Amino acid sequence: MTIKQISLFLENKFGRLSELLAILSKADVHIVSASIADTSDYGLMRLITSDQQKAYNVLKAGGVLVSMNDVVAIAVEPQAADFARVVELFTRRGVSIEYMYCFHLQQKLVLVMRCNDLDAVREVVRNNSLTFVSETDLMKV
Amino acid sequence: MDGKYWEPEIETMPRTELEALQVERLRDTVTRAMASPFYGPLLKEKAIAPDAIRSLDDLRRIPFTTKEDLRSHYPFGMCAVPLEKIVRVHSSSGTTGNPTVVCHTQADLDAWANQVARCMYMVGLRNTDVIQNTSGYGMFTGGLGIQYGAERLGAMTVPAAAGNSKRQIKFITDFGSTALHAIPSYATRLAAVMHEEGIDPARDTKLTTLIIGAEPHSEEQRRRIEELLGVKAYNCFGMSEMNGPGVAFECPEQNGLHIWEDYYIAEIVDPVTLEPVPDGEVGELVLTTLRREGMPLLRYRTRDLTRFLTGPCPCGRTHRRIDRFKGRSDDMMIVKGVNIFPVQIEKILLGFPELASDYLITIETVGDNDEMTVEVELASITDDYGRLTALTKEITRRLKDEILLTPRVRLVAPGSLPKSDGKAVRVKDMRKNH
Repeated sequence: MTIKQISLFLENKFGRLSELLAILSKADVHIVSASIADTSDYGLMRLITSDQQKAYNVLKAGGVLVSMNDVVAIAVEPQAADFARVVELFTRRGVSIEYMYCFHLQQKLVLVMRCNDLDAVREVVRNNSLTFVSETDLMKV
Repeated sequence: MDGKYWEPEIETMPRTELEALQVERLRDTVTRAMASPFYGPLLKEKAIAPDAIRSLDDLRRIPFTTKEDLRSHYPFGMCAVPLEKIVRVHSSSGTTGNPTVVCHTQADLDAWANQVARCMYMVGLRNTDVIQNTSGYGMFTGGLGIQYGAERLGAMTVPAAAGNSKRQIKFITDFGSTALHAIPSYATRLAAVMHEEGIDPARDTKLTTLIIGAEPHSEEQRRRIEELLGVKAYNCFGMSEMNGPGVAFECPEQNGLHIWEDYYIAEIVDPVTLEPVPDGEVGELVLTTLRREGMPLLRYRTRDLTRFLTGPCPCGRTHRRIDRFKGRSDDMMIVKGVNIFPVQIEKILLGFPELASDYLITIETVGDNDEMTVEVELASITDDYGRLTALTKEITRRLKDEILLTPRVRLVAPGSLPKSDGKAVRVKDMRKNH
């Protein structure tokens, strides 16, 4: 029901992103999603690839400050109404979303979320016939 | 002989006897100093005769000696014996102007070796130990000073000298080194390389003891190094003007450094007024040599800031303890009228497990103001962006509580801060008038 997400510390320095990506290239993985949150000093890059363990190992060995954690990934139809429905269901059940972002996978919209209550998420997904995205789905990319 | 003390009668000598010994040796020292081109005329001018020295209070009639005096009498103007009696010179790096030179007779070198052996014995090292020295040999006293001390102790010595971490680690594992002499930042580096090579210091080496010195470090940094290498780390204080390593050294209590008062008279003075500060207050350490033949130094201003720890030490030694160094009177930064020492900042940063041990303080003039930026390397992250922001805020807040002004705090990636010759660069003062 959850997938692995990699977070990278990205210094706000000219050329740093290029260095990080050069290291990541050695992992020979497909990028499913990459997003960067930034301030003036540094950013945090959140990364999902076809093989997270491999990507993590290569980045770690390359001296990159990196961490891995679980996030919820749910596939919906790429319409605003479907997106809205999931968020509304979560809200009604009292689930807070700490952050979220999306990517497209096989004509579906995948909502990646960090939520406070995983049991509640599981219940919402089961009761409303929603679909979790698994790591096996990502490997097919 | 396997007692607790290298020289029991001296190390545990009652204070009154120790002070009487100091007065006697001070008189001898002043007598010897009269023969030096620097002290001869100076002592005559101040009308200080050896016979007139009857108590330690008489010391205060003698003027201070400074590093500038040593520089302006380069190379042998401080020497108190004919040059044929000198068997070795040591010298500090002279980044500005002449270097300072220290001349040793054979008796000076013997006394120094004994002093270092006493320190090593104090922390449990014996002739069965294998002592590896990672200091540079040559003019720098950390090399030969530790070398001859360890030999005097009778230990097996490994004079590995500086650098080449992989080779150092090979010696540690192959020769079964039990003790290491290193500057703190290099000890951290060695631990990191061992980790990379898959070597667990606790399991794969026989290391028990680390002698650290020559670089300011905080208690937190010491504990971290002890944990990383699975050793006990003891603080060593020395300076080439006072021989080198072994001037003061921690006992197993790890609470202050015993300064060997049969070798030196230690005073702590206010760096501005030059008057003695009350016991327990921080000031500049001033040292007078008591056993030097080649180059006696009277009331030498070390520029190192420390304080006397009051009360007896549970280890039984009567020689007074000085506290971990608070910085140097010439390292002190004055920012917006506040006196700040880099160690104060380091102490705060090491309190955060999310941070690594390298940091850089930059002071620059922005408009009419001095501004301080503290860059610090992160050791770990999570996916939580808010936590990094909160961490920056919390570091800023605690720094402000300590140094009374608000620095700009920047988190940076590990390994991104500058290093020079393996020693971390801690302060960059870019102010126009500096």
